[in-house]
Amino acid sequence: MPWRLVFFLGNTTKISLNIKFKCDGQECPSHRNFSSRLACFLCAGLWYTRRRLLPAPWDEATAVGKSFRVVLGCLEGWGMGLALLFLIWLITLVSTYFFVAKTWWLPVGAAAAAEWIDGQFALTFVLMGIVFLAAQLGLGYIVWKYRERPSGPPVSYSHGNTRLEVVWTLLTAVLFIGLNLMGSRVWASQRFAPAETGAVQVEVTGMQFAWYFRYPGPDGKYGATSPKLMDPSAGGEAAVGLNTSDAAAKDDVVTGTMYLPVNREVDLSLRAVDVIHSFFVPSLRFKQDAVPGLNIHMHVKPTVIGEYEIACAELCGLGHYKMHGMVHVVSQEDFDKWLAAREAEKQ
Amino acid sequence: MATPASVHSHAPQGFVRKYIFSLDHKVIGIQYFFLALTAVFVGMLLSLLMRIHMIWPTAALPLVGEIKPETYLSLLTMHGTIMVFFVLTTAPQGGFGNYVLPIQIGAPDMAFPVLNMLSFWTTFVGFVLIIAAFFVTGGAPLHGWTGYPPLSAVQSAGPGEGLGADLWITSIAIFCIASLMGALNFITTTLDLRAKGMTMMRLPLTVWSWFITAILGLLAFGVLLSAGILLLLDRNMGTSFYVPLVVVNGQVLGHKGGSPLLWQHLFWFFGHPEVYIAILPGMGVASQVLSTFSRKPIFGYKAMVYAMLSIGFFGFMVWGHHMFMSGMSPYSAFAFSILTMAIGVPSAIKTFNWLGTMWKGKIRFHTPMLYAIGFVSLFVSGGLSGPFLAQPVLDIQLHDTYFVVGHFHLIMGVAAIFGIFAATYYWFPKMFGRMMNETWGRIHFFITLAGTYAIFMPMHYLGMAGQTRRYSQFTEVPYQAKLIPLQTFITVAAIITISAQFIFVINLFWSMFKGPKASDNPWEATTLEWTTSTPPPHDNFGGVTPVVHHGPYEYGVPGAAKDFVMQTDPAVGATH
Repeated sequence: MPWRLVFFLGNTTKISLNIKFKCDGQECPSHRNFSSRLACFLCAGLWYTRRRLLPAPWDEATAVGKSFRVVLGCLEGWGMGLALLFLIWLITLVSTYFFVAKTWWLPVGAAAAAEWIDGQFALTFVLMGIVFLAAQLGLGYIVWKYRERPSGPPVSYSHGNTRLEVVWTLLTAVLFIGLNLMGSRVWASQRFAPAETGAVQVEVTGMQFAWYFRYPGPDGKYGATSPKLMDPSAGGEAAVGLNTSDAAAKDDVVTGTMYLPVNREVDLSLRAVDVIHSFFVPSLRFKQDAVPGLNIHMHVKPTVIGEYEIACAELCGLGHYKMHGMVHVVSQEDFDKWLAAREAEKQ
Repeated sequence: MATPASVHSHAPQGFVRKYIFSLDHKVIGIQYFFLALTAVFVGMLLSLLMRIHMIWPTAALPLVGEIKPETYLSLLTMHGTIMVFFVLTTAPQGGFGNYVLPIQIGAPDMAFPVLNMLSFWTTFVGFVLIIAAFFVTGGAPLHGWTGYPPLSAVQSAGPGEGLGADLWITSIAIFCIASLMGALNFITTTLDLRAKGMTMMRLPLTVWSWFITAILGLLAFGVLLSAGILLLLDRNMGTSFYVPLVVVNGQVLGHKGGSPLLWQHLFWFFGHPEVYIAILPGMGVASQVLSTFSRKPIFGYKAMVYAMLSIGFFGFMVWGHHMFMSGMSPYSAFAFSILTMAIGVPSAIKTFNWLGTMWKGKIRFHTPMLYAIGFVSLFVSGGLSGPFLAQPVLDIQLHDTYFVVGHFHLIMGVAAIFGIFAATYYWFPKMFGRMMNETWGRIHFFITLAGTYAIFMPMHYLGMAGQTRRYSQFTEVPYQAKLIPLQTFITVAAIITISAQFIFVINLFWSMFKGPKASDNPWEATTLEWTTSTPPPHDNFGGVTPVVHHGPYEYGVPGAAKDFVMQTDPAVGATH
């Protein structure tokens, strides 16, 4: 094709004379000395020849183009498959590491229920961990293994497998429901029965943004409270609206810090005066919303002497993040002393 | 096949009728898509401000200045509300459902085009109202996207609980109305406008997912609408549906006898199905994309359909698992818990079938496929923390902690978003007639997947250690202050991941105008939208009514000329 040759020569000369050099279709203005001009000239020539005389490699209409594309796609599939395998496995293993190493874990339990709850947590964790590892590692493997390859076998034309489907469904059902039933036993023992007789009585009142604790005193009876008497800014008895003219209220103790005797069941009454709060003591494995209009009874038995933090766990307004308190779990002796001192202060 | 009430054989000519008040489901779908795109950037910006505030509480930020604790709560309320309603509900259903569903069933438009237009513009009004809440006196509400009364029902309970909260609830009510109209339209269209031969068991799984989502929407949004109206009455008319006698700031308010738990029941009766409204379309898209790019029929088509139906069915019976700590009867917790565990079963079936679809396939790694694979990974990770939270006894420790935040963000947040990304990369050629850039798509994918895990996986650790949600700062509670380094890591990961989203937006708009032209069927897929021209004509099939001969995912059929058989292909060779 002589006319192609003419074009080729004309064009390459033009390029070599021009300031704009082209190297494989790309401008390369840095090639200014003779040798690089020559290299560029040859380069441009080669590029031009390939463009003019051969079909473009990505042109699928040709056999060369087709195989070129297949090879390119295969290389690309190799890289992408590997990248996905690597990323998914990395994420899975790193996440699992921090769970297993217990870098961040539940705080040490200090209540009777903690052993049960932590046991159920660990069981759930192991079972879900196995499923997590199997599914994620399997996903990474499948994506890598079944990437498109020109030499690969044809896909298996299948619409599924009913037997596998049924087995899988039953397995999951047994796993999930079984797990649930085991957990329910603990839940029932905690919540279906009332507190033991002789349990320590404490009333917890939540308000924006503080916790108050009321002990009924020697008479074992809470005195009357009235919404009209509530004065949050005054704190203490006034905050919960204690009606001091009520006889039962005379020996009620209201504090901002909670004291509990160790190894005795505590009968909690939870109240809220304005919005919903949630009484959360992570170390005692205890959480319960305090809801306006409801008086919720719960029981808990601290088993380890120590100081534990209270956080509000239900969004209650702008001071939610600082609605913090402390529980002091002390010996029965210390508890009695503490309560007697508060009674004495009151007189 | 019935005909839509107003099949408009001639495309409208004026700009307003064509692009603004259009009756064409394709234009409306794109309008929904851009509304959701705007909303997702607003929502993302809010989350960025939140993350920065948690770590650097006194930082003076450009435009917004120093963020106060109450502003932080407004940010989280608006982030949640905008993301759940105007992104996760709007984009998959209103956007892609609207655009693709009629074409995939071979219909010229939705059953009620005028209603469709009305749904979009009602949603738009809802969006304007919620954005307006930022600019009124007192600012946006601080009661969280769940809006638990009395906090949300009492004007004096905090800043933002005045006009801002009224706008918030009004916006949600309007959104409910829009979604109800949309749901009716989707259900009618799917039932009445299928092409000849398009039996229910030949519907692409995307259509099934939009159909089931519409049914959920029809049943759920009505409840939220009523609940919202009652809340408005409590707020402004002195009624006491949700508010008992309360004393706020020492003032005895006039309410008497209301039940705060009533709102929680009504809200979560909507709220739990809403989770599935967000994720079901993602499941549909993942199924479609995984089958297409594995060049293999979907594994267990019928099992997939039944799994989605049972997820939808059980989805209405588990709302109480959000309320284990609320003070409702501990006996009911038992029932809610076991039903919640039961939902895990169809979810596991779906995961199993996705893996089965790729098994022995020939996987092509186009960007939509990457997102579908990412979807499966996130669905597994987010799903497996479910059985922890579904057990009331473990929920004692984990309820309202970061464990929950990590759980729902992985599964209904980011997994659903990955579904939306997969859908965007997959249908973009059909919608805009051009291809998106693959290289940038891949870069976007890898940063987003790694970033997502870096943000949300550590939240599980935080939650186990007892870090409570919705705290603007962690310095006031000593045991939580120890966790700040991990929170800092999350913030850094969030900043990187959020920055990477601009790659997507630039790619989207650049490709819209400069991308290479797309052919009619660039992915060599089988469903009806790939039989028509790109982009499809006004009536979708240019006056021709398609006739369907095959199931939706006939790939790798032995003896067929190509490795895929279109649904409309009259040639024999496929069995379904």
